[in-house]
Amino acid sequence: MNILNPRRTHRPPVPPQPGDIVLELDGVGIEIDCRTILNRIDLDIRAGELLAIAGPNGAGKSTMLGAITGDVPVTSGSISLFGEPIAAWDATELAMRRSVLMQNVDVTFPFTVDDIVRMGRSPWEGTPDELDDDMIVASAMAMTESMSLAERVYTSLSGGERGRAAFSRVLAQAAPILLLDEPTAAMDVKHQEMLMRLGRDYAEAGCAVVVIVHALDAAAAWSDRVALLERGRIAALGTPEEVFTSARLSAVYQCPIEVLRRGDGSLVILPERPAVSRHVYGRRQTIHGKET
Amino acid sequence: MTASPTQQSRRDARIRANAADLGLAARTPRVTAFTFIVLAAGLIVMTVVSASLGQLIIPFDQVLGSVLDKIGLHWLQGPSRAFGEEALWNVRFPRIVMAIVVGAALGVAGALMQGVFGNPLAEPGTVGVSSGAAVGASCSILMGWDFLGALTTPALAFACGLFTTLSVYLLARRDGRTEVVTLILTGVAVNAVAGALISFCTFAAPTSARDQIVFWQMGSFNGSRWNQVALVAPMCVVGVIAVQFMAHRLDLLALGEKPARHLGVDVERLRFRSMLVVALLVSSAVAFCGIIAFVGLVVPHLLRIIIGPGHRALLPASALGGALLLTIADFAARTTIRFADLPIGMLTSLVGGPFFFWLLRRSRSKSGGWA
Repeated sequence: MNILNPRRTHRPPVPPQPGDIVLELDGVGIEIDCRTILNRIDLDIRAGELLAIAGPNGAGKSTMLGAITGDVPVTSGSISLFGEPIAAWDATELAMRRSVLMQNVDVTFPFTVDDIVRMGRSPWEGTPDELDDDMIVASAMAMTESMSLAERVYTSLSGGERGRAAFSRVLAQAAPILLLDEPTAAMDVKHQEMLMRLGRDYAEAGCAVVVIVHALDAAAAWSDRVALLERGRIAALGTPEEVFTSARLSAVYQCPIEVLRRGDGSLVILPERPAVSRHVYGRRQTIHGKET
Repeated sequence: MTASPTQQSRRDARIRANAADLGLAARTPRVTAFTFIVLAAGLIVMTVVSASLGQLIIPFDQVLGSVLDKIGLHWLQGPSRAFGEEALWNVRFPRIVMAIVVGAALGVAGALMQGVFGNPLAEPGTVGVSSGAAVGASCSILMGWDFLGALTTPALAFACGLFTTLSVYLLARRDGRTEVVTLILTGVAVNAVAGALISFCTFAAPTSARDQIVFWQMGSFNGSRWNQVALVAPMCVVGVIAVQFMAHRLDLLALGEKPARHLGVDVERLRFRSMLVVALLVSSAVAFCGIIAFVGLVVPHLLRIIIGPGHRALLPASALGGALLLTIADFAARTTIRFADLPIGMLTSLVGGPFFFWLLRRSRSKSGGWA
């Protein structure tokens, strides 16, 4: 069918300078079924930063990401990408500029992880960048430690492994904006930290990274700025030290949360927990693999 | 609760078996090339066998001789028996070519529908697209319409086929995927309505047209003529070629609708074009040969196991596989019972039905429910 409709030329992206505004939300409001999901969100996201989005369930985090990707129509306000409204770019031009990792990516047919990661390169098909496909795919998989999964079928992987494979695909897309919706949800601690560190590296290379996270201490440790969402509006925006205070978090999450500052300035964020009275019924316990 | 060592090892074994079943199989370019060669060779062999055997037996070398004769090479002796040449060129070859063309169309249509619906159970027959197209064709037979000349029947089949495809698509999908239950139930509903309309055509038809509609409905290549092949083959070829240009984007669709869009696929356009091609392929198959179900289900499924789910190889392989399957099925239909030409649609359904059921059971046990 392309014979009748010769390949249109897509505008290639210009790499942004650190500090450039790459994404701008201006008074964005979203209503779905007469319910206000987002209310006048103003936010600018700059190249070179990792912005974490936090907030309780139902605060509108995923909807906001959906609005940025163009999946959720905006009721009021506007969103611009590299200075132009989202509608001004075609699907391929958008794909060259931002890559998106959604929650729970399901794959219909038994594609291997290698196939899946390679799919990340498809926006660059027919461009000079296509020549680097093999190298980029291999390095994306090496970074996420998913080389050993390459020949496995995606649908046979565990949740955490799927997360790593899907993240490799998003890295392989090599777009200057990375949008991640709870990428660490199914991962163990090691891979959670690995993923956040990779996000950090990605930002430091001059790209913009937006991550929705539930783990507040991970957000505090790895992000440049945090946007705390509460019932469809931004309750606070700033560095983790500014945003994460005991009073604010306790109010937003409606649950007592304690924020401690350690000697090196890093934050420890803990929900206040009552002391439980423990019951140990079995007598056998195992510590370091030895029975006591 | 922690798993006991035996549970653990049993689970490991199951995972490994799953992996072997699903993917770690040798899906190399070598396997793919080998598959293509086997399919193509099989198709050539079956063509010669099918042309040679039947009520009138024409030896292989005479079949080849006759073909070479047509292209101007007089290397081998043509058919020696009386009417051999006529039997070959007026009866058997148009029939075999029709089987090849229709088989390719149905194989590709099945693979394409599965890709677009995101469900390995989608198929023109089960979902009702074939019967939808059949409604158009039987109306045309009933009314004896010829406002488009010889193109009337295929054109009406295409119109009704496209309408059915689009309605099934709109009815059965949610969030870019089709749940098995929804798909099957949509198929039941569409098949019921289309079946009722075909029944009405049969009921309303005069006795002579009634026989025609009834036999045509069961699916058969009996009585295929060159002028029919000349109408159907171009439609099918256009469809099979057009689909190759969508192959890569169909792969991306396996990630789901939104992720495909995030990777630069214009999902709406891809979807509409696919539906157009499905309608074109299915109506070209149905127009003269009736409803031949399950080819589009069995062929892509088996090939996906062998060469993997990538559409670039799967689509052409499905064309070859469908062609091979229908040549074999037509040969069986012609020769199993002496002096009887069994309806081919009956044969494919006889084999395809249980296969469909097995797939259904398998997809249930895998996803832990009918979803």
